[in-house]
Amino acid sequence: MINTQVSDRIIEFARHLRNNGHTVGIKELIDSMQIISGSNHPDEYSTLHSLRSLCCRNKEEWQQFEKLFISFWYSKTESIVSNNSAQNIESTIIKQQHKNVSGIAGSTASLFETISDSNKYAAGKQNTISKADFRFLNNHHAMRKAEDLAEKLAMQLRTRSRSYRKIAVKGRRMDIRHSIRRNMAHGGIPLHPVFSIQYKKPPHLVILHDVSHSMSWNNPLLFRFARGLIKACPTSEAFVFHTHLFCVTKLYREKSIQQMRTKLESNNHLWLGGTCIAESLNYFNQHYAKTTLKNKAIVIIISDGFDTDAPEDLARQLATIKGNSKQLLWLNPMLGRETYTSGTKTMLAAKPYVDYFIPAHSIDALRSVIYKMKL
Amino acid sequence: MTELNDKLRSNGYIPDAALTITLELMQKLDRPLLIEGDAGVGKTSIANSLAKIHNCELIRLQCYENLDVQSSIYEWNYSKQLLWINSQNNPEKERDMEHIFSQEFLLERPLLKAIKQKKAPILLIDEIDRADEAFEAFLLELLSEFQISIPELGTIKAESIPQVIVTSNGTRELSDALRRRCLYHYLDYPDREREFLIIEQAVPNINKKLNQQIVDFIQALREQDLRKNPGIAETLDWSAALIGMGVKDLVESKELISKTLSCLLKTQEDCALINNNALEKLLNTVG
Repeated sequence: MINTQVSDRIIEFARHLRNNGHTVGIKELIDSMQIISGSNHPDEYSTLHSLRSLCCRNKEEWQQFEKLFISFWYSKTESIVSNNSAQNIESTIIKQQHKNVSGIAGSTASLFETISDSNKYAAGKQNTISKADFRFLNNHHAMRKAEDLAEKLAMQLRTRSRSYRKIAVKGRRMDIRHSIRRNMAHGGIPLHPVFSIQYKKPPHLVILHDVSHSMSWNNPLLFRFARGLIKACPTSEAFVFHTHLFCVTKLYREKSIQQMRTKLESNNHLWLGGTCIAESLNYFNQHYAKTTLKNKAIVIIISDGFDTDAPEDLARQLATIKGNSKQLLWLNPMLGRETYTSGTKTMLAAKPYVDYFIPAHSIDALRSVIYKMKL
Repeated sequence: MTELNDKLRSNGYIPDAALTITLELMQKLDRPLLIEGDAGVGKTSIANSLAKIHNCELIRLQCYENLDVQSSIYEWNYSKQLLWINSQNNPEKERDMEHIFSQEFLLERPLLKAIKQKKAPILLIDEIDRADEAFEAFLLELLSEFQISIPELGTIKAESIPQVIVTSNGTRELSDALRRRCLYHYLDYPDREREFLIIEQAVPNINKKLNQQIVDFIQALREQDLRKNPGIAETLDWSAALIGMGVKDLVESKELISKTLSCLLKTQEDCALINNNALEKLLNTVG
């Protein structure tokens, strides 16, 4: 039977974790109590790691846990010790025994000493790359990690479109289970076999990516995301634009990222300057729309919407694209900023023709793109 | 805690203390363990070592895209069903249907096999992030109740609770429902001390100085901005290669090191990054 005060402290700790973004349910709480009550002399190290295994669900929580554990048991224990100083401390949960868990059966001082003595307890670096706004990924390593994540995320589209299967009378892969069931009248002999076929082909995407100066801070990530989408959907096409529009599908299909970058730069596609969205889209409609906007294409525009062309021109071009495509998505990195208003003239002009405006400022924001697509 | 630690060490796995605690917890609570970490940090080896310790069967399910129930849980033996139906002189549809969907016609796949073992096995569900989200949903019942529901047959409960280890390389986000059912452990690259012991155990004829130099070099290499950091397997391969080439001291064998770097660097970009200058700097960190 667990001491009430111990259970109260664990409940408090669970609340502390929840306040810091952890998801600690009843099951975890009960298991935590079971583990602590089941151990006669729980030491700090094993308690920390037991609770960490129980209460963490991902790498970020795992890395953050040590800090939260220390901050909770250190500060709280001090107050409990002082509150109980006039009473019989022996009867409380805090017995000042070296190497016992603070707040449960030990001192925080010893906990802290142990922790500072041991390098194993280096303060956890909270890794929140997937949540971070691209603007704040200044660290080169974090940036590369985020780029990898963006590409992998885009590749999930392939999994999403491949997982649908249906039964058909023609196909390559015979579905024996359904064939037997349908042919019970013939003694189970598959006289009329049925087949399992892929229900949905990967969508045909057309990506129109703004590479003007105002987009430069997040473009490496969005390039990788666009590249992932192109790899996931083999028939897709990609274009970049600033004041002119270029087809970059072939470059995005390069196996090496380095080669892709080198070729983009050498072909002057990564030109950092002004933006003529309407003019670029006009060029697209005249030269590429007929061949690329087929098979109910999903068109994705990646741009912050800062345009030097007239909004009416943009609306006209978007109307043409919308009329020839299944869905039109606009990924805007600025939408992630609280201060940004989507009521700019460009965005207002685009509004009637765009199915979804999606923020594109972080990996988590990009995740919703995959699920907003009509497959 | 030390007992399990000792057993793992004697079976060739050098765990850190946190991992030992998590494994103890997994056994105590009978809950599956989700281990995440980069490729090559030793996630899969844990299951192998646990199976050796408990002297039980290791049942492994390697996940891949489009993995389905038929390949992972169960499948009906269709040819046997057909033969049986045809062998009946007076077929009765209702009775036949009932019979052909019985245990006799069931083919066990790894997950069903795991819960039908008399002695609890170690069930390794490897690289779950490669499987589809739909497959994760199939797993939920198994991971929480240790039972499998087959529509034609009913629910099959576990005869013994397997120790389940689920691994993920983090290539995609796993569902919260799956995470909630598992204990969690994030396995990082080993620290110097642990890596030294791992090499010492796996390459017994290595001298201490060279071992320490290899550890220093690898640890420094992991701090570079590589696309794919060398894992434990790469370290061991490289150590074996160096021993095979008669290297006694890393600092004196720069040429041989550059020739054997292919054991450690697995992408073109990483090879380009570790050029002669970078190699020189790395060797300066070697004690």
